[in-house]
Amino acid sequence: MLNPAFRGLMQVASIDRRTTFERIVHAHQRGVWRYLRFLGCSRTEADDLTQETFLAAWKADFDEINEAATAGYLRTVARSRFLMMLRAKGRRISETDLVEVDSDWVQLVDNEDEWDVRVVALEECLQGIQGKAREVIDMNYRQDLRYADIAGKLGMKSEGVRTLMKRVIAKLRECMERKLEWPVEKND
Amino acid sequence: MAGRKERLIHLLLRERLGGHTPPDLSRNIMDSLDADSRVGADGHVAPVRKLPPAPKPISPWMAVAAAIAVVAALTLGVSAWLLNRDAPVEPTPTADDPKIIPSQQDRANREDTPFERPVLPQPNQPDPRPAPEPEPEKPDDTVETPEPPKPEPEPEPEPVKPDDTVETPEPPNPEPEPEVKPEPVKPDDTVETPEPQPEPERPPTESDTPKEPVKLGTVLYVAEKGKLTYRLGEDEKWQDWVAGSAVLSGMHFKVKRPAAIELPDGARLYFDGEITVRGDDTTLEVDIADEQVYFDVYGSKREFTVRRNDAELSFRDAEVLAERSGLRLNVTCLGGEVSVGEVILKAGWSASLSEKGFSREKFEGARARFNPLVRNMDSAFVLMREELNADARERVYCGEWKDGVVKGGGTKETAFGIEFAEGQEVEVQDRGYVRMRIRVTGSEDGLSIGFSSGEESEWTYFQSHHERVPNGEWTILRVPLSQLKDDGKSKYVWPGVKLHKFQIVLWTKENSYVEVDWFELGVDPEWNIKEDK
Repeated sequence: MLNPAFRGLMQVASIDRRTTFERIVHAHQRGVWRYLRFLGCSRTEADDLTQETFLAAWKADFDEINEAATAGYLRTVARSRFLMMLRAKGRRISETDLVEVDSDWVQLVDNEDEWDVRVVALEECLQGIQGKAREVIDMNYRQDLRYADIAGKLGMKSEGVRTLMKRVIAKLRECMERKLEWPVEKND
Repeated sequence: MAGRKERLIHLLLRERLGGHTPPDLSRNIMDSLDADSRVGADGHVAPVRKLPPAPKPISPWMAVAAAIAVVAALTLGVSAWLLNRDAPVEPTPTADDPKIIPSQQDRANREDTPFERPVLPQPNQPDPRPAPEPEPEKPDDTVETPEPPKPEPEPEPEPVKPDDTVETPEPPNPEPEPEVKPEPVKPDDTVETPEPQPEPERPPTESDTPKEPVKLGTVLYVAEKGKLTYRLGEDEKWQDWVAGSAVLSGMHFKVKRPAAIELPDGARLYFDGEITVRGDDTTLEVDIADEQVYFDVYGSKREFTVRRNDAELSFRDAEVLAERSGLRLNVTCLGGEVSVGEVILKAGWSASLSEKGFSREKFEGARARFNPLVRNMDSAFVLMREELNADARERVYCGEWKDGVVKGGGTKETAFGIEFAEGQEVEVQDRGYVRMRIRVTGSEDGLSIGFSSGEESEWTYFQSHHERVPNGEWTILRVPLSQLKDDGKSKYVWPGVKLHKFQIVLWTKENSYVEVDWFELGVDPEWNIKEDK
């Protein structure tokens, strides 16, 4: 039987731990979700894996050192969960690839607070996209239309839409590289 | 790096223009933590599973006493658990009605409402719907080893949720489902037609000739360090398996790591632990002594039976995982459907099976494939599997998605077309194959399947053509990738080609359509290549 005083201490410790963890969840769940999307998860997969990531972190009882270390740790767990899901679905992807994706994420996003900076940059870059290219972007991302449907509406071929999209995204990338000082791709 | 930047831009656009912002999952997460920690009203907390403390040196008599105590406690615990879980077995409001459990695909048909979907159990919230009985604590819940407090991924493959239903259980839903007729269809290399069984020319007399063991199939695969052994009778000694030997009726198998047996009709059973197989041309029975068996028997005409003690399940044309669970079996239906009595278990559901039938049905969804045996076999044989769940809808460019099945045809040149998920191109490998579950209506002359590869500027389309595809019934079509050909350049596909689109073209357009349930790209083991492939 537990000594009542000791039980009280345990309760306090567990409440403290829960409060701390709740703060971590609030601070990092969006970042983890976005990271999982970046790895290639669908939205629903990202929902599931984000929750699993935090549950695993809770069970692991990790030590919080600082925000960056916590974010890094959560990404590692999320990546592991993602890999397990891929394997379960029979999809293949190497762990090395994922590590590279992670380092790109760190380089491109840095930390969650920087996300809004990227959004602003994107909006500015979008100003430069006009005409049919802008229509294609809006139809695809805003209206969620498939290439075949966009092609039907714009009197284009599906492959044409695909090519146009590729060009627009490449243009946005170049713009973002300039605005955010991302390393410029040499082979483009 | 350019690709990754563009992926990030894609995400930013989805968020900014499409409103696909990260949902607030805090509540779900914290609720699931509470459930996991089992914080009781009295404040008892068991938040983290710790490694057991280092054993202290003890004297032998203490060890014996401790062992007896542990065994006694375990026996008591298991008995109590078995009793408890038998008790609330029958939640059905009307016992006379057949109990239909909706499949994952039925769910997939719903509009995509990811933000509303309660992804993790929320025990603190009352569920107005008839819940499928309370989850008992998983007996293996404490097996999981705790993570070290270092920032490291915990690579253990088991889903960590204590109650890992992905979605809230819905009321038993006898809603229409794609009437998947479990018509047995024989898989073979190209088109699997429901060809007549090699006639069971067995005279009805019982007293016939002395029986020779029936040859059932071959051992397709044994994992490294699996150490497959066998014996023909209980009294015989275990012997090492010799590659190329026939699997005979009555054989007992024991293996440390996954192994696979393939039957002549293409049906496969993957197993680890210890099993006994019996059967003939029309049946196959598997007794599980230890661990588990995973049946992938789509398209087989046989009746399969899996048994442990008095728990017995018979099924056809399905994908089923049967695991030993104490004296019972735990059955998970991964594809098709299985039934015992009036209880039907559909894809994505699992249940406990005893001599009384199914109990404690639970929706596992995609998690069902997280089982280590299934996962190992998937990764050993499958390059990619497309279940055509809701997330595939936006990638389907020909055909209408509904209930996890895509249906297309009519006057369109392409009846079915799908792009593989982003970053999921499949590289053609030696001994690769594509397998799909389809139902063709009309177009009795045949169909073509094809894959696209390369960028727009260097577009290549590899296809193969198939006559005599059965009409009006679900069929497994299996095609070696080596049969795919670029008809323009008259060149067969070669290893290394990356495929990113899959299409089906019906030869007759009018009044014709094809329905696609799923497809997968896989690799046959080296020794499984038959001459006629």
